[in-house]
Amino acid sequence: MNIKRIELYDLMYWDPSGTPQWKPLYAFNGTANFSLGPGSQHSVVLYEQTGSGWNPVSPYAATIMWDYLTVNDGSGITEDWTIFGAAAPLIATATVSIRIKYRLRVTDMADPANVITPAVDYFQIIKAAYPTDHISYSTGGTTGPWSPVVTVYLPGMSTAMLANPAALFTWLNSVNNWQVVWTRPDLTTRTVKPVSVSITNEVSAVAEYAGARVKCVLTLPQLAIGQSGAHILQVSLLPNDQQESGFFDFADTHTWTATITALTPTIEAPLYMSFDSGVFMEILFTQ
Amino acid sequence: MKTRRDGAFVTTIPSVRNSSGLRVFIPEKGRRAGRRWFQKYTLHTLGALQEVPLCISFTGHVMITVHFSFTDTVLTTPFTLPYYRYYLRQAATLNRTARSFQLHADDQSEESLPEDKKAEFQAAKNDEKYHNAKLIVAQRGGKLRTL
Repeated sequence: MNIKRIELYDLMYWDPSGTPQWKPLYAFNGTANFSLGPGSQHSVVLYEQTGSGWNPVSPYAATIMWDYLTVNDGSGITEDWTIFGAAAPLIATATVSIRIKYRLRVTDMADPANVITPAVDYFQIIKAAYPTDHISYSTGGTTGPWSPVVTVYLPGMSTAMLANPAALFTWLNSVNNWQVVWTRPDLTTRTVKPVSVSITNEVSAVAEYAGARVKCVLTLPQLAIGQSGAHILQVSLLPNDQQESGFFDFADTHTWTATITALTPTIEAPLYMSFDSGVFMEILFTQ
Repeated sequence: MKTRRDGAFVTTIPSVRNSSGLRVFIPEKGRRAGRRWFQKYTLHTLGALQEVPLCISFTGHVMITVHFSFTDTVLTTPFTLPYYRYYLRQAATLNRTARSFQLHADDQSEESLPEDKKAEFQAAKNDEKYHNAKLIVAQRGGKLRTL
C-alpha cells in the first residue's frame, strides 16, 4: 500500500488588521489569484506519485516554499504559485510573523477514491520576527557564581487564534531545544542547557509579533563566575522547522562585567617544629 | 475472477452460500509450473499526521515531516462479511479513517515464475489493472454493502 499524493488543504492565515480573524489563504499563479481556503478546489501539493508511490513505512519530509508552491487546482498540478503579492487578497511581502493553518490530505494509491483527511488543524508561523530587545536577563554574576534566568519572547498564538495555544508550544518546553553559550573574559566558551523552561502565551501589541507572543522563561544552571572582566551570554534555539541547520542564534546577547576578589592563602611560618604528634598552625588570607 | 455485469467485465471474488445461507468469499488458488499460488486480498488501513502541530520558521520556507501509520491485513482463506467487518472494526479503533480493500494485481502466480519471465510479467502489467479491481464488497463511509 503506497501513497499517491500528500496535500495541504483548507489553508487559512491570521489577518491581524481590522477585526483580527482567520481568512482564506490566496495564492497567485502568475495570472490570477485563487483561494486555497475552505471550500476551494485548490490545494498545496507536497508529494505527487512518482513510480510506485511513497511507501508509508517511511515518514515524508517536505519543504514548503510559500513563495514557490506546487498547487493542485482539481484538474492538474502546476508550480510557481506564491502567497505573497502587492495587493490583497495576497499577503504583502514585508509582512512578518504570518500564521497559517491547514489540514493534511493523503491519497491512497491503491484506490484514488480512498482519501485520508485527518480532522486536525496544523499551524505554521513563517517569517517569524521579534524586536531587537526581545530577550531579558536577570541581574547577577558581578561578584561570584550566578544562576541566570533568561526571558525570551517570540511570536506566539493567542486564545483568539485557537482555544488552547499552549498545546502547540510543548516543544519549546524541552530543554534540549535551547542552549546558552557563555563566553568568558579569556574568550573561552561553555555551552549550557537550561535546567527548566516555562512557556506562556500572551497577547502583544508589538508590531513584530503581529498579535501574540510566547514568553519562554529559561532557568540556567549556576555559572561559576571565576574570572574578572566582560562575560557574554547568547541564547540559541533549535527551531522545530528543520529548514534551519542546527541552533538559531539570537543576536540579543547579554554582557556584564564581573569583578572577582581572589584570596591568597599563606602559612605564617615555613617550618613548624613540634615535640609531640600534634601541630597548631594558622592560615592567613590576603586579598 | 472476471464476471460480466451490465455488459462490462468486472473483477469479483468468487463466492458461494454455505449450508447456513451465509455467503463465503473464496480467494482463488491454482498451480503454475508445479508451484501453488493463491490470490491475496488485503485490507489496508492508513493514518497520517504531521510530526509537530506548529512549525516556527524565521524565513518563508518551512520543512514539515508527515508520519504514517498503517496495517495490512491479508486474507488468503475463505472469509465472510462478518469476518471482514471484524477487521474493519479493528481498524476503526485505531482511528484510521482510510480503509481500502485491494485485490493484489501482483498476485501470487507471479512468484512461481522464473526470474526472467517475472520481469516480463511485471512489464506487461499496468497501473490501470491495479485500480480496476472492483470487488464484490464496497466501503461507503465505513459501512459495507454488497454490489
